[in-house]
Amino acid sequence: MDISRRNLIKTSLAASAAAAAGLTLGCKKKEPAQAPAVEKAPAETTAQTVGTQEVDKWVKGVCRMCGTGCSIYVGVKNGKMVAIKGNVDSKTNTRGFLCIKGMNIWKVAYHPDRLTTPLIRKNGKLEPASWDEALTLIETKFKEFHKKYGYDSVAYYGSGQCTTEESYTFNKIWKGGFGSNMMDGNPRLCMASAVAGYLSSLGSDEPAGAYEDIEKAKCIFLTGSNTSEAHPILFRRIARYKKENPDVKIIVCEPRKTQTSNIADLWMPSLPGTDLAIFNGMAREIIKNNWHDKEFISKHARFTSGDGSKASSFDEYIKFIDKYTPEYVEKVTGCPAASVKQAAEWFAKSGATMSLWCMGLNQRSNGVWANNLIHNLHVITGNFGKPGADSFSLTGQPNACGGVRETGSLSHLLPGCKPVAVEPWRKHVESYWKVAEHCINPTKAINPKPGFPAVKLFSSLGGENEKDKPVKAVIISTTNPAQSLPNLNKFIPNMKNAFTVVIDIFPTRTAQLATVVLPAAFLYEKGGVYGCSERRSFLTQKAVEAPAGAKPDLWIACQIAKRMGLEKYIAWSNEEDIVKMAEMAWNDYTGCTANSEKTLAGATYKRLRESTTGVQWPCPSEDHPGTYKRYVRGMDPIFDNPEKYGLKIPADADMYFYGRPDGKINVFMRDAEPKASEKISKEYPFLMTTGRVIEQWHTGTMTMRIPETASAHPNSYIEIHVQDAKKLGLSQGDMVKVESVRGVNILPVKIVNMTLEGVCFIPMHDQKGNRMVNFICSDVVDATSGEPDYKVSAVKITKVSGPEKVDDRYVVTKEELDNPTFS
Amino acid sequence: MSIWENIKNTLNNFPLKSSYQINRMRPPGSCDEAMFMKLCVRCARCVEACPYRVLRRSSATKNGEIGTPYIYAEIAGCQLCMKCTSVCPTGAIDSSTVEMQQVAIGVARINEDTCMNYLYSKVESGEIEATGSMALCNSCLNSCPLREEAIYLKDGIIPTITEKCTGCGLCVERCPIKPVKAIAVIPKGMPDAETAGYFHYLKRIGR
Repeated sequence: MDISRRNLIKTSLAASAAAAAGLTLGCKKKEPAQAPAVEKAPAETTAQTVGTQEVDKWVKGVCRMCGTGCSIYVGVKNGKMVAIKGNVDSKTNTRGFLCIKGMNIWKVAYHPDRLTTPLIRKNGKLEPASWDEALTLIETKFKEFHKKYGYDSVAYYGSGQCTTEESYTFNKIWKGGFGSNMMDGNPRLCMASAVAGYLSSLGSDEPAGAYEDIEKAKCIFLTGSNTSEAHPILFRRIARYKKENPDVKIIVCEPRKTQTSNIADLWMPSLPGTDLAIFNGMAREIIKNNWHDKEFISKHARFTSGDGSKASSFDEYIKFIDKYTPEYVEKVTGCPAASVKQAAEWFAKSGATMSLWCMGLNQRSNGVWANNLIHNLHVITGNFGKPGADSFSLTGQPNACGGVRETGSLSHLLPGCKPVAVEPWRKHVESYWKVAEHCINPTKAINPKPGFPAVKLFSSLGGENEKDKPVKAVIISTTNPAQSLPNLNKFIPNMKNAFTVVIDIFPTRTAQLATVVLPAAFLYEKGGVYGCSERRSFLTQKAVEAPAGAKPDLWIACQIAKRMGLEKYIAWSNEEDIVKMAEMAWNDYTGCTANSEKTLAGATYKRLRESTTGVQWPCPSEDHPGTYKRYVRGMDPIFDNPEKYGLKIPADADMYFYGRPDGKINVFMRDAEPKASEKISKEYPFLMTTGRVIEQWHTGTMTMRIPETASAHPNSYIEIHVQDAKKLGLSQGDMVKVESVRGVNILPVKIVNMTLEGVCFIPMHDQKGNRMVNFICSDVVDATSGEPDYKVSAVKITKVSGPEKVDDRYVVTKEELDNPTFS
Repeated sequence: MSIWENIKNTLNNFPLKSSYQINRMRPPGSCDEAMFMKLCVRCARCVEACPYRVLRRSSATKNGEIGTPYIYAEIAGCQLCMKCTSVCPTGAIDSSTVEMQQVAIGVARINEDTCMNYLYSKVESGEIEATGSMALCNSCLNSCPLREEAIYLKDGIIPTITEKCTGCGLCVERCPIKPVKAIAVIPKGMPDAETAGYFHYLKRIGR
């Protein structure tokens, strides 16, 4: 056994001291017994480093990972990041808690794989080039395509990880500068259904409440979310609250029995794709037992069928959901009838119920409908507007809400998250941006027709010789579609053939297909505003300098704008200092949305810089504290001056859903049958679903490069139920071929007993070609939101070989940029 | 060098003492240490059979253990695929071990002073002041082949090891705490954490 270093030092110090004093130490028998086999750690363990770390300064920021929006401090020493610690004053990660990813994220900035030179593909090889050369090439190509194929032939594909300033700038360039709506972002793959759900039900995007509601709720309904792994800090907040208040009911509705269900009073299993029947069944049970809130329904509910244009009645709604008896639900979903009844009772009678959901509902062929049905449950039980009652969608990315939804950086939205088709708002944005004066498109206006959503965008992307593919060029920022899109076999050739520009900090799967790769600055090397799930905007301050050669995305956007003749239009494009540049972009953005319900006019850069908690919109003025709950008089500042926002709110209304013309929430009659989703068949008998694990994040380009998290989850695997494994003759670690009609993966088996039979699960983070689960995933999309159905694919599983060593922590390296191997 | 150091060195190099070490286990299904040392003929078939290259031959000369197979959990834990059990010609590894539940080559122990989840829960209960340096991690739970059986999270946060722990060492391999992992496997035969290793020997000679 080793002795720990501290003990060794102690012993040798004592020995030398004794020698100096001319003494001989006696045999201290007790000392060895005190040293346990599991050693007391020396001072420098991962967690403790942070507390004791000596740094020059702590710079305020926000975590780069999930959508929780944990507030942090970055420790800087000698101009380099050395640690991250939580912000103890934070309102999101209360008491400064972090997870293992966030604690170590700074390490990626110094990884040897960092890109520091622009690369241009010449004769199939990416070769180093100067910034001027790369930008000139982009300029020439963009101008050429604009002329040859029209303004819609050049697309932008952004990310919920870009800062708000960056997304807004690109949005402004494309929609107003080019007069083209051919821009989308990866939130299309994660949040689009929630956006469409909020817009169709409540009339205005993003939740009414906040995380604060967790600690005020009496019942928490978690569905379509493995919160414990995907939003660990938020989950801990729920778990802590549950521990302190055992009477609070927690219901988890999910196909897999994960850590999240361990704190639950009730786990409602449901076969992937079927949970809509459970929600309708719960609604039926609530009304049948007379648990519904009649007053709330009469005041705030509008029953409707179809697309929401035609009003219907409560009686018709009752008739519609009558089919969903608990027994019927059990037959369809696999969830016991008694559980449906129990869940309905707790949901309706708790007094304050909060629903939290994530990709399990959004990434579905009927994702918008699933969202609608959750809102329905809240309306009929009156769980809106009071403390602890809210229907709350969790985001997966740190700035999907703030940067993409609020700035409207999707193909169908404008700043303020209003559709481009809405004329008054489009006119407002046009005049605010002075589009008529600056637009390089002869139409001199914002196109009222939405562009292509992500999946359609990438299937329309192609080379100049491909006549059926209208999009010829795309600039991809801070995301990795060559790994994150579903049914990759379909999209990889498109990205390869088109003129693809990638802005990233590391070599990625997408960079392997790119024509131009631009090295970017890491978040803490540039700073910017991130807005998390609960409408809270938080400023990350620039902590360190970017490595020589790497540039912030905002600078890149500005250079493109300048070269495309939009120098005056993007007023901050001539600014030298990146922080000033971002501030100007932020001011332009908040000015643009000052008259919308998403106003951040009061969240000036100065205020954000000083604030340790961030600001929740609506925040109309600097002295306004920010809004915890929307739609309620006295809390929501919109009620004070509705005319300013172009709204009419009756003077006597205490709660009013002003996003809707009549102020009432739509209660939709949504059929539960997942018509478009893939079904199991004799040949493909298993339902495969995907998701996150706590140690990794998204396509693993960052987390696979952090030694701690990479070793904790070094490769992907397939979780199979123990009974299924028996049937297939599989044992732990066997390599299996997982095959759908679209693609194949070779993965090691992990046998589990905590999921439903016939359901298997694959995490989505591995970059190795034959372990990239998105080759298997279905590219069926939700008809309304355009969000792909990652959660339901039919697969077959066959054994390939016995166990093999595959924990290689694979990442795409610089050397592999030229010859991508996807197998 | 003190007398104590001398004794310790002597004991450490004592040629006949049993040489248990934390995070170092025999292959799954091995019989107890004394018997294993008698039976093992150093043929290294188990080492060859291991598809994960987890089994390594000892290079230590003390006790004549050189050439015998070990799992070094800090490098890589055993995936419990049981490919090694059937190839042993002498029965040093019991070939009837086929299910992972049968394996008992050690027991994992968590260091409550360095495990991040322990520290986290101490901050939650107010035992430690919040400094922002607490991070949440479930790596030991997620890496366990018998998740929820051999290890579970008490109160949803504190990793707790049950008697079903096989001692495979995967949790040690995956633990992100550096430089000393917050979890360690005490191999079978090593009495317990407090008296393991040469201290165990001291106990046997009647300390």
